[in-house]
Amino acid sequence: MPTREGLYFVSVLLFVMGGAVARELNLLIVLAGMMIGPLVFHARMVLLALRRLSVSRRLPRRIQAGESLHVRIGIANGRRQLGAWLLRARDRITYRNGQGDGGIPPTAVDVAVPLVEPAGETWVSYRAHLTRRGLYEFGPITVSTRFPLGLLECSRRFDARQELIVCPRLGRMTAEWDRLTQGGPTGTQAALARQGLTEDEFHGLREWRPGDSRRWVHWRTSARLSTLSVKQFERKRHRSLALLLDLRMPARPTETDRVRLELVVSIAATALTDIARQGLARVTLAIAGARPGCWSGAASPRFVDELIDRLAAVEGGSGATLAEAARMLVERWPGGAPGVVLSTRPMPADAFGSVNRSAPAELFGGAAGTAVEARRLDRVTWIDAGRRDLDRFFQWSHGPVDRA
Amino acid sequence: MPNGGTGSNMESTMHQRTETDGLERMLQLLTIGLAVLSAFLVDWGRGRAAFSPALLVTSLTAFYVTDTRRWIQLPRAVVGILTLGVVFPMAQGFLRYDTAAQLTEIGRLLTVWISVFFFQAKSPRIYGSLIVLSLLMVVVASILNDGLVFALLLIVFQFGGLLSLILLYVHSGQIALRSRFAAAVGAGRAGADRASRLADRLLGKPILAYQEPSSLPDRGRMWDRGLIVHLLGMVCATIVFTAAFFFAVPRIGAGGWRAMRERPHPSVGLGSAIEFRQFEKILSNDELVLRLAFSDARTGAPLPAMLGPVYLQGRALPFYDVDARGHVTWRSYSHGEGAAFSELPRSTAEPVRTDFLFEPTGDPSLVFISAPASGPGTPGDLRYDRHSGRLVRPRSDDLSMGTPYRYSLYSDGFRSRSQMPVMPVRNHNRRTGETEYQLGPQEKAGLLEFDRARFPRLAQTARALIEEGRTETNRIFKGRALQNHLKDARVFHYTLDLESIEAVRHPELDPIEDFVANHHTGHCAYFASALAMMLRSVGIPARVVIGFLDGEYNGLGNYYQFRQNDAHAWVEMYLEPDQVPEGPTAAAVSPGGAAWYRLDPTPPADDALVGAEGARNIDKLLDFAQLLWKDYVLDMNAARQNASGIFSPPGERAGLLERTPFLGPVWSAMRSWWKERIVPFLAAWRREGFWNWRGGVVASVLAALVFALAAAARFAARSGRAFWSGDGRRGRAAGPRIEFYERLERILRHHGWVRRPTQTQREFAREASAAFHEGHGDASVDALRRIIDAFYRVRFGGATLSDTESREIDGAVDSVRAHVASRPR
Repeated sequence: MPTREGLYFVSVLLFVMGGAVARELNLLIVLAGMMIGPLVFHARMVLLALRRLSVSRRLPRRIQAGESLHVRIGIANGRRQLGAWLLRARDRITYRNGQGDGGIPPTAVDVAVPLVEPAGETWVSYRAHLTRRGLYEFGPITVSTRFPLGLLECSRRFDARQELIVCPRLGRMTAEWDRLTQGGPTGTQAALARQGLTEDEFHGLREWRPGDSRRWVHWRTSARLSTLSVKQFERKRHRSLALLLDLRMPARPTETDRVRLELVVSIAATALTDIARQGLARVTLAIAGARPGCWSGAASPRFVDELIDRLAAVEGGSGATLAEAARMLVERWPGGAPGVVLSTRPMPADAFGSVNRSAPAELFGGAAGTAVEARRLDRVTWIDAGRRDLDRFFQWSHGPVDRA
Repeated sequence: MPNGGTGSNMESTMHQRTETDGLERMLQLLTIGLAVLSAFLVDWGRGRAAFSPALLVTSLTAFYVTDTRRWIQLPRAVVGILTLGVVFPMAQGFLRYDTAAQLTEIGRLLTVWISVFFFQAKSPRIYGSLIVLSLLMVVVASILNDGLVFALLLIVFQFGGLLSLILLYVHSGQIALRSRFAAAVGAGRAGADRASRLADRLLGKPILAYQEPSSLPDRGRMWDRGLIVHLLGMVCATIVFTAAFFFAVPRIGAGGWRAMRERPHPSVGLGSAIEFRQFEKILSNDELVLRLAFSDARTGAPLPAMLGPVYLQGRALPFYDVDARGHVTWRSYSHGEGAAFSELPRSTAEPVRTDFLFEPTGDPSLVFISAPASGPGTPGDLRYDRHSGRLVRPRSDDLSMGTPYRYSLYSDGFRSRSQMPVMPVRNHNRRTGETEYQLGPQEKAGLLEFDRARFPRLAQTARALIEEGRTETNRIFKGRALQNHLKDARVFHYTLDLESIEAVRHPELDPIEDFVANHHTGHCAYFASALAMMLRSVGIPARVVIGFLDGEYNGLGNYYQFRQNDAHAWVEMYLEPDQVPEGPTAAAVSPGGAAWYRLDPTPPADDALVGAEGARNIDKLLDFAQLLWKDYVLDMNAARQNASGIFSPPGERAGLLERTPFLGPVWSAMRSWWKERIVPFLAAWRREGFWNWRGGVVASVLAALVFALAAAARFAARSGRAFWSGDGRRGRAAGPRIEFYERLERILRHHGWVRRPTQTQREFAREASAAFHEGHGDASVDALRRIIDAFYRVRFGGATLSDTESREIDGAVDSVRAHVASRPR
């Protein structure tokens, strides 16, 4: 397919050919031949350049929203004699999240590839900054070339589709949150369950100091470093948490509504990450979004990653699923765990405006089936994303939470 | 965000900028070179150096002040106004009804436009415009030029043009990459500024992606040997393609419009009068006038060099005149319309066809071998004017007069490859439509005009010579006696130095009388004039004839080339029918017809310079190349295409090569070599029986031919496959490519381990592992094993490696590479 420059070239060529044929100017015919010749071989080269190429892409499985992403594209040349010069690989990135973002067009990124040697492979990379959490689709990759003259372009599409999960942004949970989830002032029964063979977990090594037990000496390291090193132990606390996300969104959400939704999701993701790092015993997450859902399990990094993946794709709902989510939550409530509701909206009744006040079981539409379940719901803490003192529980890494 | 690494990115961009500057500098210089070369080609066609020096100065100035220093960079609007502004002053010249002038104006306009564009800040668009404008200049030059050198310069231009297009493409790609990166950096910075608002941070533009210029891998490697070879191949293939295209494109135009030169046309001296003073100028000019080739009119076979001198008649001049200042002029009859030729009589013993290729001239007069006749290849509108004794081409416009003219004539004036001195009088009478074989009384009277009072000594000398030779009855003997007297080098001397003649001559005497009586020095016109007057003084009708004598024979193409300094003057005396000699020389004269007898009294020049043989051969070679260029390129038209059989069925092309003018001799020489050497050899072999040494030679040659043909066929097939597939070794075992394994093989091959065709990949790995063990490369052995396992899983199990596995395998390959690199080689 001719490029813009190619069209100019062809125009001049037609002019030359017209003059040559009309007036039988043989030197113009020679000139026309000298113009057509490169065009023919140019066409051959652009067609050949894309034959027997294969394209691959390397992506991490997930990143955090706002992180810089390094995408590598590899182009392998299956021809044994002819290289491929000056290719352009156009990758397509499509944001696949649904709510309110349907209008975001795919973004194309062009990557220049100077040379792929015969029977060789060249890797090039580009950076991407993905601001929002969600699912992104990469591909297809269109490889094109205009080499050598830039007059004709040939392109070939490689499917090479991959998906990338962009997790919610993470901040950090404050000490107040720790106290809340450890069942302090809220009256939650802190369950310190012992797990594993020892109460204390190996933490690291340090130099021997007088008074240290000989049993703590790490003999292999001491031998390697020629100085006594002892093992350090840290007491591991085992706690559980029941977390309910109330992602209610009005039919026509404002920017504030959407920011609150993102805040709730980020707080939940940060809390879950914190839980995995601290090694709580069990965690149950219920989401009342567009669709209700509930997941419960040991707070392992793998399980938390799975939950964060779900959070990456979660969407707000009308609020009708809150009761269903609460019902699922109480069914899988970890024993003795404190409950927290993270919501995009304030607690409906004025009486529950205080931070440490519990939410009534009635609020959840009769989700509690038994008295025990009702007591659990009575004791949950309701934190809405619009509250002024949200930074008491959660802060962004670079400072306190802005008010949404 | 992009601005996160702005410092390093800016640094790398600056580094990139420096590299690009080198590329752009090359592009700038190449663009200047193209523009100047195109202007030079226009100048070459015009014969005046005007555009190219101006453009050279302008472009170099612009290179310094605009591209290097950036002092002056004309805004686009100013350039637009200037380019439009210069159109109007030049429109006046363009509106003249003179195509050459119009082309000159177009060339001037393009020169000005290119100059203005040079002073603009360069963007890919500007470079593209400059290349296109240079190309248009070459279009103009193609109309003004016709030389072989132009074609060679056109190839240089093509190479430069292709290179500049490639550089422009690379440059614009880098510009696009940089601008995309700059846009991304700008967007990132703006995003970062906005991101202080929580909503922007969480709900901002979801995707920002860009390639960092510094991430390009090893940019210098692009210009490797393979690329250069491909580009050179493209230029060569283009030349071949152009040749095929040129000959295949059917000519459907009206034709006749070819190179127009503003430089003076060669003055051949074929006008209606010739002054003695002109001869000095003509004879010191070595400009080419015409080429001709002889062939047998019956068989078409080219004839080699003639055995004697070749006289080409230009014009017959019967009237002698001297003005008051003593300047001699010979004049012809006033021009008539002329008449067509008659065809050569069938009884002609040795009909010879002469193919003429006449250089552009300002005069419609042509040359011919005496007593010309028409035949195939003779333009129907050629006319022979019996009164002025000249051959004229049809009256044409200036354009066609500025082009070479090709015509063929037939003659019966040769015997045994020698031009006969006797030529029949054969004039076609337009009024009666009949051919006349004698001159009328009035014409004869004109040829006898002689003023005895002006030439007393000349007449006396002539009479004395006739009496001395006792040749009163035979005109031929009389003429020869007078000719021999003038040709006597002891008495008469040839010179072109007219000043030396002026120094010794007696102004009161007629110059010819003075020449014969006193100084005895002059050029051919003096000798011819003296002989003509001497013949007339003894009652023999005679005329001076001007034309060309003895051009240089070019053995490469079997043709003669005549230059201006081959111009010559000689004498023709009239023989009544009863005086025409009998014998072979008279065979061409019709019974009862009169004849012309050629006499050449000019002695050979004393100072004839003969150039070195080597240089002359090179000249001949170049001239032959130029001739082929003209013959097969410039003069290719619909008629010649049809005649050459390009579009004929293959069966009709038999004998095409033999018929091809100028190239035919080469083919004929090969054929005669075959007939004279090879055929007798084969015949002798058959006579003597098959089993002898000749049989051995034939068998060896046949075997070599078979092998050569097989190799050529194989090479052609492979080349064809390689051409269309871009891979000459596709015949090898194909299969899915496993990139990491191929990388491993490359690494190992680089260090001397090559998998044999009989080895499986695992056996090969085992062999390499054994060597690794010796070098204590246990980790590498493990890596090798993992790579081979993965290879077998992918290649034969159809498995796909996950990202993690791919990374692990990449790491294993790197580990092997590190290990083999650390081993002593």
